[in-house]
Amino acid sequence: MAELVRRLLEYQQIRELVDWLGHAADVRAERFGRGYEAPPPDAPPAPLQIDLNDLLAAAERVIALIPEPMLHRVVPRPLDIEGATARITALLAEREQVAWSDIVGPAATIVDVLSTFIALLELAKRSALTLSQPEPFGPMVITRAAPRDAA
Amino acid sequence: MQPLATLLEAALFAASRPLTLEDLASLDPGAGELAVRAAIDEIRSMYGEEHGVELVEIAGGWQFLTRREYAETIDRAQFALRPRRLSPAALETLAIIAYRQPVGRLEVDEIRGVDSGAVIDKLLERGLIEVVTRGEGLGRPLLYGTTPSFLEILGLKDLEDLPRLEELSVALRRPAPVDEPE
Repeated sequence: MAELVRRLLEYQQIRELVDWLGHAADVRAERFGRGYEAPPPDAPPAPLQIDLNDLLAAAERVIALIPEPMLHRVVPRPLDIEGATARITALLAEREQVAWSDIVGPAATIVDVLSTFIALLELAKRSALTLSQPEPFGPMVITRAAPRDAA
Repeated sequence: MQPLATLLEAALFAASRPLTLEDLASLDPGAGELAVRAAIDEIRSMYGEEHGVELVEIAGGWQFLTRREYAETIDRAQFALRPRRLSPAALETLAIIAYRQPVGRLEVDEIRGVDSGAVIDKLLERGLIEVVTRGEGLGRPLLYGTTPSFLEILGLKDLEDLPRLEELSVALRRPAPVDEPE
């Protein structure tokens, strides 16, 4: 209780001093000096002063800037190589030459693309077809192998 | 007027801040302190009430200032700008620092009951207070004191012009040394 009273008295006295200082400043403001003021010299920056709470708050702000680690999950994709092989074989039975887009269709999934590509490589290895690309980055042309080649 | 007095008069007229005895003495290295003081007295007596300006002792030096009775007219005509008024928070903080200097921010916070960091930064920016030393406590906190600009904006010659501690409540005095038990 005594401490509270002391602090209240202390603050009351501060308020009296504020009045005194405010009045002194008002009186001083009624007297003008020369208008020109030389530019102040570059003051050195004030020394850094932080307390523990400031430091913790700053650390939290820095930590908040660290991005969350990005996790990639690798999942096995079941490829349908047999289905792709059957599709290619069926197409080549109808036509001598087919395009890549003829095999995978307009809405191919990544599984379709991979399955088809592996099936093509496998069939080419078996000499059931030939793969060619007439120009760099051009469309791939799949050609049915001649009967003697396939043998 | 003596030549030294006219020289000092010219310098005081040209200066936009109070010139200290040292500043004025540097204008004529051959003149001693007594001669400079005598010249200042001569100028002050010359600028009596029949003049619109007077030589005022302020912030540890002397400066030509207009007389108070012309303030309103000059202000209305906007020939000169009054300084920005200090906020109550700034005055509170200044009062504590002026009476407790050198004093740290924590002590100011404790007396005001609020965080004074932003106010102290503003007062530092305006050059009204400065870091004078570091305390011995934990983290060696910065301790602040007032500057000559503080005296200047209040029109004080020096800190002795502030109300004396004896006129204030005991609360603002520095804690008295602990008496030996009787």
